[in-house]
Amino acid sequence: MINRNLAKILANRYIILASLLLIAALGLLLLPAYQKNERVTAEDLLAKVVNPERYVTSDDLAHKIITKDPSILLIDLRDEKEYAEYSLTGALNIPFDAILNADYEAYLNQGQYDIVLFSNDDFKADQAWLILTRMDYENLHVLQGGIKGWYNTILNPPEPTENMAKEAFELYDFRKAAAMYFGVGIKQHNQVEQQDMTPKKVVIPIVKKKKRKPEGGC
Amino acid sequence: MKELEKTKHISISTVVFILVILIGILTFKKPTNVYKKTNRETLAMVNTQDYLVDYSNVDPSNSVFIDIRDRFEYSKGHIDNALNMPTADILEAESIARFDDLTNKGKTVVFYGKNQNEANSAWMILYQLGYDNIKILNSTTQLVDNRFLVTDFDLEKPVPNYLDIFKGNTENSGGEQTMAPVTPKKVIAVKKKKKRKPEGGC
Repeated sequence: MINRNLAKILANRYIILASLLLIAALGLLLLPAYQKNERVTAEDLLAKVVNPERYVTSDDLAHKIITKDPSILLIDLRDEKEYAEYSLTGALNIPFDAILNADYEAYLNQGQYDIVLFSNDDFKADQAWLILTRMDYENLHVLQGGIKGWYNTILNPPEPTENMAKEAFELYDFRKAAAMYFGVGIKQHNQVEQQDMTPKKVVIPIVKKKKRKPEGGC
Repeated sequence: MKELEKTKHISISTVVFILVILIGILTFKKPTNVYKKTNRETLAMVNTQDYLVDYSNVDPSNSVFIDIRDRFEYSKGHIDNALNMPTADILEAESIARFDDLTNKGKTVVFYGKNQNEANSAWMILYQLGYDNIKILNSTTQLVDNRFLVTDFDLEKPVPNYLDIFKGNTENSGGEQTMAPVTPKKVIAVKKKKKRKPEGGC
């Protein structure tokens, strides 16, 4: 009996196997429909979001700009009008609406520079950071406080009161000096002089000279 | 006889093939949280201001406040009836279940933190996962004299006339004032010297 049954099944084995294969193939076809999770998963994104490492303080950034750090790339997310009015030294304008444009992808998706995103606040910049991080772009940072924070700390720093620590005064001196570097308080009679900003250029070589000497030891 | 051998091989390999597919399907791990919004959709949403809600416009009967600051900050003071859910915990099974529940009930969830930016990350991640009913409170919050204050705050508003700082010193001052700030410049150089020296040692 068993042998006869087995023989019956074995006679149809090709049909059975073929139909099984067909079902499996159909199943594979349907799989990607409910999987799809592009690049960074929500869990990974959350882990990155919780980490405050992405924020760059305005003091650090000012120091980097003044020392002409070649590794940073500043990206201004405000609109063109605001960018034309004022922006940080060497900043590139990518309006917030356009961050996903293919034209700008080469700037944003690369591993060479440390990108610092900034807007008026850090709200827009942080949103841009999230969107770009989800695409798995690397080396993205956000300027803490944005242009507003830049104005309040670097360009127009609050004066320390007498009872504050020595560090507060040193920081204030640094910020004041940085503000000078960025063109605050330099006497300007007309537009032409403003573009020249000769005092700014004089300072840089001195800074660099002093910097190199100790580094070259033995 | 030879032909029979051949067919045997074919059927064995087919069975193995099917087994491999079966194992693949059984071990397949479905991601728990899947993005339902693309990057472009998110960008379009972020560009509208629809997700920001003023404190006065929140309908208390149909909304739930969620405090996304950490537990310690929450314990010091929070909006009445607000739940606490730190940003780091928003994707835990418990939280997701709560969001699902609130969504099914048709309630609006309002996130708030120290400022809008703090609540933004949690909102953006959940929005991309398909929760449309979450909003951000368009205010800053702070604890003053043991009272929890909620203040309206305009985002992305530049400091008025901030460019004036570059014009300064020209109108109301003579040459003296422009000379004065030259000294701080030296401060930079001195400061750096001190900083670099220990680094260069051998």
